[in-house]
Amino acid sequence: MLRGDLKEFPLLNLLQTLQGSKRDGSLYLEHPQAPACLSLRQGRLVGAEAGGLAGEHALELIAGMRAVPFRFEERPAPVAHNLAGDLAVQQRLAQQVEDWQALELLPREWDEVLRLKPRSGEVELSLDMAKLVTLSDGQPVAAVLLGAGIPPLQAARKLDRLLGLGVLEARPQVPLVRHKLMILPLYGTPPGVAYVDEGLYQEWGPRVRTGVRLSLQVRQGPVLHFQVRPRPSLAGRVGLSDADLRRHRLGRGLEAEAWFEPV
Amino acid sequence: MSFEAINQWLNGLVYGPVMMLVFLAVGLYLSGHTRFLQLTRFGVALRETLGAVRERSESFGGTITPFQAVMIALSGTVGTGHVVGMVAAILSGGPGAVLWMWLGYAVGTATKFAEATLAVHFRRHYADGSISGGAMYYIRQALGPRWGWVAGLFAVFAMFSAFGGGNLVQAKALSETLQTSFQVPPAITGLLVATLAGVVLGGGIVGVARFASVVFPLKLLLFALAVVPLLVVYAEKIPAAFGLIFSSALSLEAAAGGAAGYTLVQIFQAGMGRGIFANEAGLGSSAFAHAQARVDHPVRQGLWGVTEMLTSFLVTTLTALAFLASGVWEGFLGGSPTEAAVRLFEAHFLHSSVLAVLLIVFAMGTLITWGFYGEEAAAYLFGEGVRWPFRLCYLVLAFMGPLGGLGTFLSLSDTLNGLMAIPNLLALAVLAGLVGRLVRGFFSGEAWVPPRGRDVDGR
Repeated sequence: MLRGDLKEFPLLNLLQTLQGSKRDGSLYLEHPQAPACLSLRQGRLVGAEAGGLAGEHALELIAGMRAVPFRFEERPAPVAHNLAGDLAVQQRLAQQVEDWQALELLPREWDEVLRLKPRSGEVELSLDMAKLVTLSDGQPVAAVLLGAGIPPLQAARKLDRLLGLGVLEARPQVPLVRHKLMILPLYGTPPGVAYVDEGLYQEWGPRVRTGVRLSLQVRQGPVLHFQVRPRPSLAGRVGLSDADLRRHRLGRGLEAEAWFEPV
Repeated sequence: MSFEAINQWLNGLVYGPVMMLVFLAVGLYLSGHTRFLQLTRFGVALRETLGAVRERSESFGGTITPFQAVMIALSGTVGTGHVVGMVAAILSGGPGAVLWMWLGYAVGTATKFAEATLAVHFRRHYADGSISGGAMYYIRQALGPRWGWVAGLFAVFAMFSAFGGGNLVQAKALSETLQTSFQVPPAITGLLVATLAGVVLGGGIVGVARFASVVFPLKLLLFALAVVPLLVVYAEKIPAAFGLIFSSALSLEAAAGGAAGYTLVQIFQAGMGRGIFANEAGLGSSAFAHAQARVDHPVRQGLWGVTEMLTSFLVTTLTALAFLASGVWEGFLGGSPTEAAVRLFEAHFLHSSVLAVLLIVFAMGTLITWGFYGEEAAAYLFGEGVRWPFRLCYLVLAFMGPLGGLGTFLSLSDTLNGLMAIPNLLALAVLAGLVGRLVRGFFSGEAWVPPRGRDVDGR
């Protein structure tokens, strides 16, 4: 069995290798939102399925996948047979990969959630674009690509345009993990800023392109929001300015529930 | 000149008035560099320490917490000297000695703060997460590699102080108390002390920290049980005792030789001696303990040093007040401090047995803590492999202490204990500017940047 990740072994290179060795079997792409499978016969692509789509539409979707773990399983005969065109399939796939790469604003991570951008200016939209906006609000990218009722690449182009116009914005889905941190006073630090251990910050900061803020809650009290900055040697603590401690009537040693949120 | 005579001369020097003035001068110099932090930031120190007692078991990701580190330091510092030594100071310097003791504490707090701060700043980290620290590391930093042998000399002094004053003296005091009050033979006491010390020291820093976190609060509880009833009995005479402290220390009568016959030098020497040596500020001993604490900034641990001094101050002061208010001191001028202490506690509802229990716990805590200090000093000199051999030697001496003898060694170790102050105070004076910068950085919100090369892998 062949295993790897498209991040290190791009799809086109992988298919060329399989074609060269004239393999029969299925290439499984373990995409978290749209698990996919490409069927090969004598190394040639004959079938595609992805997230409930099949054939050409599935192939289009697969062309947009990056950094996805894959495995190739050899079988006597491929199961699906829904792509026509023999060698032309590979050429179409190469073109589609190129088209996906040209989309600059559509997030690579399809779990990011699309939202109507607040305070965006006036924009004229065609009816189908307006429909797509309505459909997209609050949905992950993958759900729109799969459920817009138009070919995935076409949906992707439209989303990219809407992101470019500032009608939509994509925000990463950050899982809500509550950390129990003890409050520590810091002297001379700016108010409104919370300091957490470098290790904890490294765990969360890079997950969110747009930046994170820290929310704190002490003893079921109000949720307080702070800018968050890393600091060494603060394991298990959250450092707050003396002024913030006084303003919120917090004391050192109090245990707070803290979680990171995208800004 | 015989060995004894040299030792006696050195002893007189390191515990004499000139050295006390050096202690005062370095304390004042450090106070200046820290802008008298012990007074101007006293509230912060209390909030950072007493206000943080509820997080006593929460470390910053390391082995022992700042609270546990200060428990180790206090367990070593607050010993029999805080009770019997305080009584001795009043007997040899009169009530006025207490005021000079307070002054010693006020200035020494800056010294203790600097020791704790620098101990954290210059400690070394090992790949397994353990830490090695103590005054040797900042002495070496202050004096440079050329004078690195002075740091080694400090470690030698500390190691022999641990064997003598930290071990033999405590084991003997413990044995004498147990024999007098509860008729326990010295050999049995020696065996018990060595066994307990072996179990605790065998657990390394975590074992010592756990022991100190139980023993020091127990010490305070016993002390309160011993002294508070006396203060209640003599409550009416406490204002007069305060008056006596100030009038004896400041009046011309006292300076001229006064009614009680004390000279100003005697009063100063007795009081300042307590104010300096009871709390060990300037000796560099507690740096061994403070270095072990995991904190985000050295100054935060330094503030624990302030509280350590406050605790020591309260214990000595309450003892002094009880002793002065009781009036017992007048009948024992120039006499035995131990007998005077026993007479003082006769007014207690538990009589002198409370003093016996108090001294036993005090001595045991000091013995264990100094075992750790000595081990750290030995490891600095001879490497990690010396830890178990050191512990074995320490346990043998803990067993021998109650049996008596070794008078010359004890006398030498007392001198070496005093000598610890010379390299330590020199380094503190050299690094005073750095301490000041660390304080300013801490209070202006700067993150602590440890000096390079503090990890054994060179990070």
